[in-house]
Amino acid sequence: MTKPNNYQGDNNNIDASLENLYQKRKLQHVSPNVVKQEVLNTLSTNAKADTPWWKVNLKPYLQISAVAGSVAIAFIVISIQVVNKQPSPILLESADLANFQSVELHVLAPKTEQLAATQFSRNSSTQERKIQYQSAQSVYMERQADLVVHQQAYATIVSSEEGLSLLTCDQNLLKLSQEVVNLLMSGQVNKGIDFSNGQMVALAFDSNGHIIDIQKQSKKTEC
Amino acid sequence: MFSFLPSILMHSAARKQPPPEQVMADYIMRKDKKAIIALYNTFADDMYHYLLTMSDPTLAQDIVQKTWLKVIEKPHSYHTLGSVKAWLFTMARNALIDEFRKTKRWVELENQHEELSSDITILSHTDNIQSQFDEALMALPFAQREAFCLQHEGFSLSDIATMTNNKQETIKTRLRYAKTKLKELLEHANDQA
Repeated sequence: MTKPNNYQGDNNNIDASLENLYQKRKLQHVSPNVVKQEVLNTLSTNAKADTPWWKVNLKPYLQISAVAGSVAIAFIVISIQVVNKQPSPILLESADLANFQSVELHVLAPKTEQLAATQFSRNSSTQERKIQYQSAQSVYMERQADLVVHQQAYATIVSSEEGLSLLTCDQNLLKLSQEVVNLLMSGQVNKGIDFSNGQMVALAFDSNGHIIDIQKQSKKTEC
Repeated sequence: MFSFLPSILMHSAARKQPPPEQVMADYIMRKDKKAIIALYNTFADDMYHYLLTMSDPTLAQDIVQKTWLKVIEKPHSYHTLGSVKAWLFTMARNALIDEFRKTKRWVELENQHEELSSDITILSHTDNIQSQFDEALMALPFAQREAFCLQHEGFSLSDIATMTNNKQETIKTRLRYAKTKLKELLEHANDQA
């Protein structure tokens, strides 16, 4: 009767012994560290792939974005400057302007007195109107003469006892004052003009019909 | 007054280590790296020893690595109603058998005789009982060796039957044969010593 108990006891002892031996065997054979390292590497790789966008290390992306943004801004600024670039005007100081003397050329606008002469009143009498018409005609003739004079580009120097004169192509004789002659002959404005009789010159007139410049005419010009 | 302190400390220590099933659930939900590391530290050595007992060191290392990579990449294959350890060992066993099938070694293992043989394998003459046990264990047929290992890993007959796709009676028989053989071998070794 005791045999079953002993048998059971032996069985229990055997199981315990086997269990003990098995567990000791396990302690002698553990998983290599290289396997754990490989697992950790895989975890790190997957962690980067699965990281939500709000947890992603944004530093490299921020750096790239900053560089790209700076380049874009610089490009925009340069483009704006190129588009808006206009040739800057030459600014003259007021002191510089004083060295220049403006000369009005060929303004054929009527003088004030000439305008006044062309005004007609409705209340004027017949006699008054007749006088006004004559006055206007006179103004017209003067302005015609101015126009002609201004258009006279060439003239011939005429030397006489009274001094130098300029004979225009329509046979108008423009007398040159002694001051002008002295000035033209002086070294300051000597334009190399041969003030001999028959020399052709080119003329420039101002708005008042005054000759402001006489230039040597190299080419033989005929009226 | 202080008698309850150790129990509190022990309770606190126990509370700090959640069950593996909860750890696995945490990993599935949050892909927490620490969860995998905790599971690895708990089961890696058991898995390696089982695979080593069923094959060789090189293959065991390879299968362990592949199994854990699969855990990391496909955690959803774990069914939350089951044991994490059983799930891990099942994956490892399936991977091992796949490797055996590649080399056609599985056919040989399946054809091994499982009946209790009267032949007693002559163990090497050594005084180290541990070495004798190791030799005796490796001398067992594949199926008996596997059943013995899985039982000593804490799996029930039902678990082993499910993992190996066998009936419980078959597992019970294999375990009886394995223990008997080991006992005889050990007794023979003791007698010779």
